[in-house]
Amino acid sequence: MALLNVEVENGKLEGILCGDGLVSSFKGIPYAAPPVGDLRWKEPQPIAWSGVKQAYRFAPAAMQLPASPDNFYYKEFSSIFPMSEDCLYLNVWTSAEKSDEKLPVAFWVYGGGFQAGSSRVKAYYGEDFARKGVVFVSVGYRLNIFGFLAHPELTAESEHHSSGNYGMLDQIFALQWVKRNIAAFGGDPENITVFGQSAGAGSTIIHTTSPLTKGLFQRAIVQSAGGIEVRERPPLAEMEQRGIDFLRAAGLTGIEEARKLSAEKLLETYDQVNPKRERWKLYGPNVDHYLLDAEPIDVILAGKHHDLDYMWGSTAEEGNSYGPAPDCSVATFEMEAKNVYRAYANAYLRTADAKSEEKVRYVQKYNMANGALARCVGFAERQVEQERRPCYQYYFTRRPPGDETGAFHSAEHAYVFQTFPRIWRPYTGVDFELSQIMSSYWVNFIRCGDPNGAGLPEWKPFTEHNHMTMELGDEVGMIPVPETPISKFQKEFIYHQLGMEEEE
Amino acid sequence: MREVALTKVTTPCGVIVGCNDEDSQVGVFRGIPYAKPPVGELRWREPQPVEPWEGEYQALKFGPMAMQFRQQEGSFYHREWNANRMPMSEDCLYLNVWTPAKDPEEKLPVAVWIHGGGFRTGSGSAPAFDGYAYAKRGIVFVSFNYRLNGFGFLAHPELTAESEHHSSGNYGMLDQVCALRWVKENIAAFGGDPQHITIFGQSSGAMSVQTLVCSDLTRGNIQRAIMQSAGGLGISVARMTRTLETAEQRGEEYLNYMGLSSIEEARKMSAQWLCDQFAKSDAVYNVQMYFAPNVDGYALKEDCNSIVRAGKHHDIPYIVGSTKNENWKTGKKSFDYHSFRSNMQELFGDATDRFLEVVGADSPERIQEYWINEFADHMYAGAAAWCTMQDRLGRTPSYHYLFSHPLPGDDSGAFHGCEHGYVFQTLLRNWRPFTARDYELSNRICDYWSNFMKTGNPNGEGLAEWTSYTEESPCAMEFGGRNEMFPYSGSPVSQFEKAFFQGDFKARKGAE
Repeated sequence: MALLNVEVENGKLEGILCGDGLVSSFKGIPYAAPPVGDLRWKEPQPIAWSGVKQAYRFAPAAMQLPASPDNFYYKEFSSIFPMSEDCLYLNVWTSAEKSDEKLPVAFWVYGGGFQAGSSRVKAYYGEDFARKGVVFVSVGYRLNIFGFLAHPELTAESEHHSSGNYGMLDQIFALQWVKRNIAAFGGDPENITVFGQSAGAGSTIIHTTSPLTKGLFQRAIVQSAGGIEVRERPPLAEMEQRGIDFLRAAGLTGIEEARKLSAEKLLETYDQVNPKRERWKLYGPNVDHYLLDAEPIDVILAGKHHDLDYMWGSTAEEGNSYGPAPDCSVATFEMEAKNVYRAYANAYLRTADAKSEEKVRYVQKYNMANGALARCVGFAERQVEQERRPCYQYYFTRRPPGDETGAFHSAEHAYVFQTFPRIWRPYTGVDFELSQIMSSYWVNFIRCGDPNGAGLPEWKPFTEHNHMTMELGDEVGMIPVPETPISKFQKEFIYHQLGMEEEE
Repeated sequence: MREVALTKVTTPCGVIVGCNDEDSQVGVFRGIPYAKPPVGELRWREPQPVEPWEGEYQALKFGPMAMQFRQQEGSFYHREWNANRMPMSEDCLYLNVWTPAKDPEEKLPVAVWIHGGGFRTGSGSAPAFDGYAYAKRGIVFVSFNYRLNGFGFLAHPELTAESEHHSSGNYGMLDQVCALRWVKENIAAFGGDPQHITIFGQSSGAMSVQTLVCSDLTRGNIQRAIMQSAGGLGISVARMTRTLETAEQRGEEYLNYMGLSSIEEARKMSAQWLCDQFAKSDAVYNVQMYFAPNVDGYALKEDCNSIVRAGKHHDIPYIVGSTKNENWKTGKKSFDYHSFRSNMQELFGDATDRFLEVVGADSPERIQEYWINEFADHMYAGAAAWCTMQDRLGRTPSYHYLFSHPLPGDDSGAFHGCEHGYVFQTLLRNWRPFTARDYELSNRICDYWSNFMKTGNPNGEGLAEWTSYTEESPCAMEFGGRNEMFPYSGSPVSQFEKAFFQGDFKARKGAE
């Protein structure tokens, strides 16, 4: 029978057995004090409890604006959960029967653009994944205005002269907790994989480049990290200015007053003040010289990221779930190109060669997929260049049945976590086989840093002479990295390889 | 309309809180008590209604499984189902509900699963049985535990005497009746339609289905039924069903064997001690299903085969079928002609000689062949005979299937119970290297089953047509191989069994 009663540094826990008693789950384990009242916009603080805490239920999701029913992900994830500012909880699934089993540990960070998301999303429910012999941990962290507001007053009161990275510091606090406590669940604290998708992948990249996480984990899986912004993680000062602007627009005199707002009121204000399309840019991690000494890309370029086993990948149609761009006129396209690529805008426009609305629509359709692919290939190339351990790359091409969205951003979850029966799509045999292969690759990688195993198509890492990626789709096998002129351009752009000084 | 599935319901017993943690579109309620704990003075008594409670009942954890002998690590079924690590207790009368309803007014079809295990072992919450596949298809799914082995099926004259129904030894079956009654009375609170209940089960779960549709205690509580690999009209039930007197004799015999002088004394023994004793029944007495339901005149008025032949069972749509191999290792076999003959005499009486001819019992090889195919033959015959009776009686259509797909990973073929992962879409919880074909098959079976649960007819869009069974041209739906209807008449041995249990021989004798 899997472990049911566990003692951690904060107190005692009682979990719940799944039907066969082979896996137990501990849901809603508090890993930090509720970040409410005076602890709003503070680094996470320790927590302890007396007696036995029954870890039977998921804790509320972090405060966030609910997805609207016309949003693609509303149906996909049916993420309609209670939420609360009191959200710093993690969940553990384990198949260990004794605490000395030293099973590999997987630490999952959900995505949602740092604005939304939850560890409760059914596509990454951990029970069946844990059945494969990993201790699976999923973590809740602060989001949006609650997790990423920077402000000079907050910086001043911080002993680390940091502000606006609360959501990331939550994750690190949880990861440190896992390192210290996971042995009680039969996990091996010396064999931890951090992985995530979308903003969870962005978080994972930060963990691989932050001085705070050195030595905390051994491997990383980065799934569909997006964004091609010049400054993906802006400097603290820039974020502080955004914080000042927010308080002013909200009619708040300072942080003290802002801390007095109810969580609901604060969320409402965030909704009113910030235009929807801008939020993900306005509230996200910043370079504060505590969490991050430099932008993650620069850390990677300097070869100062943690020396770990890496798997990176993306999906072939990342952007399809967001629908077509609202405006595909050539004029708008050129203007947006200038905003994003600045001095390189003309070079980009030459590469894109989009001189008609039809062509613009096509380029925009694959913009996100190109960007995510660019990040993967660029990273794998840096690993080669720096003579690091080679990166395992994947390219997910399966178009899940049920609609025509294709290999959308997040499509891989049901395959990795084998959560088909819980999702509305009429998955078929092809999906099932792909899922068997993918979950095995993931679990193998989490176990030992190499996805390969008996009966699986050989996955060769990306090396100087092997510019190949693993296709995960109707066919499974190595293919040449499917770079396009645009993704190549974006790769050079993101990894600062264009050989020009940026000109404003 | 709410956006999420029900997680808090108000039943006549009180408020029950479940959770939708795994999926906001499915509310799961685990471990709801449907009868008083059958412990102490309530051991070997009919299940008693639950006392209504104040406040909220937290239905978050599966209840313990019924007292049983745990399978040995490494044994075939242990590897297959990993079903025996759960805590167990005599206090086991709990059920589980999965509902996709967002509102109690939805009146969704209900399916109640009865686990198998020879009336000796098993649990409704084993990992192979999961409610998500049905909840996803719009069905309220219920599974439950009932008393097993000596706890569920010990009869004894003292017990009969103290029963107001002059019944004893059918406690496990009465638990099932009680669970069904609970569903009838409470499922509306979960968005289920109490007028729209399907029961389904496999092996002794299918025998349970059969006894329940042959019982007067459940009239009106069952609208459709599925029997997988047992039940039907034939040998499995003939072997199972015994008279109350026989059951009482066995009960007395077993009390003696355990060195106990009375029920009073037996009620004082610890559950674990009794469980250890009951586990030895196979070794002590060479009787298949030593503990099983009996014809007590209350739960069962006659033996099931007679009830069915007389057309007194519930007139509802049925799916009945079996797997191709149904093979599993059972106790001592007789290979010489004489012991084989006396073995078969019990079943076939006057028709024994004709049966031995069909088998070709004068050759040990043929007897061996008989034993190898024994269960596949029985179960084909039982299912086909059941369907034939439905047809002859001009009743609601019944649907016959054969699961012939050999499972990947070893040479066990389509063994007894191999369909669980397909029926519940839990293939991923099994060690076998399943492929696309398995998953497709699982989708199909699940779709047929849920269509049947909804309408009484398994057919639906995108599925090969499944025609109902007729005596004139007996056909079955094949799961595996052709994956479509095929003419299916079974082996000569099974044809003999089928005709015998349909009562055809007497008729023919009369004609001769």
